[in-house]
Amino acid sequence: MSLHGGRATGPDTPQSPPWSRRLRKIMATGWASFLTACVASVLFFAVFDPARLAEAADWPLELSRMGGYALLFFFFWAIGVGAASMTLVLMRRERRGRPPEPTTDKD
Amino acid sequence: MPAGSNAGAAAETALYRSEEKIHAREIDGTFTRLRKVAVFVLLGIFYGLPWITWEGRQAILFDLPARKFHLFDLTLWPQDFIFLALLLIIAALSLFFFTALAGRLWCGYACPQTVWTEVFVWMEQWTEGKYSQRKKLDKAPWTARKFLRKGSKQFLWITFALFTGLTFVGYFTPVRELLVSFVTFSLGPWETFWVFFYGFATYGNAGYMREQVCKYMCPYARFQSAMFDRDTLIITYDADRGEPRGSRRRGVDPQEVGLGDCIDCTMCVQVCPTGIDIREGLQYECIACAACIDACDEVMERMGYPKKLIKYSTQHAIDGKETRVLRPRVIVYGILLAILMGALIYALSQRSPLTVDIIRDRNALYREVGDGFIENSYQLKLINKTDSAHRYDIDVSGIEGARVEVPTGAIRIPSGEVLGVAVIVQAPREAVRGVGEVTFTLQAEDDATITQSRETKFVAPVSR
Repeated sequence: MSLHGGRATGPDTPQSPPWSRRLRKIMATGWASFLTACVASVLFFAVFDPARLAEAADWPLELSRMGGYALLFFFFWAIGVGAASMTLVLMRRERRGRPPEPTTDKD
Repeated sequence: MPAGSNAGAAAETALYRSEEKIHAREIDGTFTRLRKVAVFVLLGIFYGLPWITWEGRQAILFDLPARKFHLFDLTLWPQDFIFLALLLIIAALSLFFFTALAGRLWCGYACPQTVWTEVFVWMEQWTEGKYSQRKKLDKAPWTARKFLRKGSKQFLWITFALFTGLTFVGYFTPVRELLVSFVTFSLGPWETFWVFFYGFATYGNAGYMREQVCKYMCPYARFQSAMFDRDTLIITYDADRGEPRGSRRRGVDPQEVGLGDCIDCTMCVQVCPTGIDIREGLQYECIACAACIDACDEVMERMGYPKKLIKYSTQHAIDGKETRVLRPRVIVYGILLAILMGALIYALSQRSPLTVDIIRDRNALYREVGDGFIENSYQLKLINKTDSAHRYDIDVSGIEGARVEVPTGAIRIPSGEVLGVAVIVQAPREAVRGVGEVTFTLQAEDDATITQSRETKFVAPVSR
């Protein structure tokens, strides 16, 4: 799993190997959910103040405003990762042990 | 890179020389220089902006702890969210507009991924040398020299990444204080976390992942082709002129040996950060950095051929048709963009430092009080959007002899706060019959420019 980008490649300077499918999946889910988490955080915090939310919690919640921002951002990110990974699992095509089903779909 | 530091082994030098025939020079050319300018301008803005002071405070500060955004004279509150939303839509639409017009300008010149990668590659070149030397170094055993070169690269990368993280947090926390607490190790826990988070992301993205991010992670790379048409500026290889490709000695007339202008030196492939061959046509991996144009132009010049075998062009131009710059797609994006920008500027100019909302008391239409007056009660919601606290005078007009009373006394609102006030208006019986209009005017006691009026209904009995 080399992360290194290939720069200045050619016949005598072989390109660093492209990412494996597995790494690509991890990175794509992580990055896409990061972007959506950014948007979600901006929208959410424009309307709600995390400090007030912490006050309104039903159980004692010690959370500063900055802590609230960070926590909710990562919460949004985690939800995004969850949704994206589930999509990946559901979209997984049958490969081993079965003849490919006839399909007009390209991918 | 520091010259002379590798004067060590003679064998090594010889190897470098033989390699240098292939990597004749570091790529230089019009577009490389343009990209360099873009890097300096954009990073200059990024690193410079937080240091600008405006009327005693940081000019641009997204004060998250206080929930307000300072942009020079303007202070935006969460209630001004509409401006942020408009700005985001404008940014997205601009991206569409420029993509339709000139292809992936964003990717090649302005994307943070590209820009920071560029800087990290420079640092790599300063410390480890050119690509061939870097490969050699990677394979070489861990000598003191290798350790020094790798170490100095990491030192530069990490320092720069940390400074980047610090600058990023400097948009949210006053940057001067931030820097002081950073060097004295007294940074708050969240500041520390975000400095390292952003620093690490920069280090990873620009130092290691680089254009793999564009190939595998970037959503824009996948959908940008939807904005493309046959008049969009793209980087193309002139196959009619270049094919059949093949090597030949300098000075040989290509037509005599039945070859095109492409000498198949693969320079365009070697300089490509995403490792594609532009001669195979437009590919989604191409970030339009134009490195291949510069590389090929250099080769063409040395061969004594005309330049622009690889060039910026459009599909229509390649097909020998006319390229239209103004076309429905561009016009529609342009008009939408103009409308939204106009709306933003208008909304900003109309933005009041005081917001007044009035809700009529729902419990009773009116009340008759003694001495021949009718009374209505209202709930006022006031937002002070200025940077300081104000006291406000309230007045009513529109009804002869009407008077206003605030049972809670003076209206004082701290900066950025929302205040709900109950207000009573009394008007003489003879002044209104049925439903009348009453205008509330609020006026800051210490600043005549802060004023806001709102009209609402005043209800009185229809008959006496």
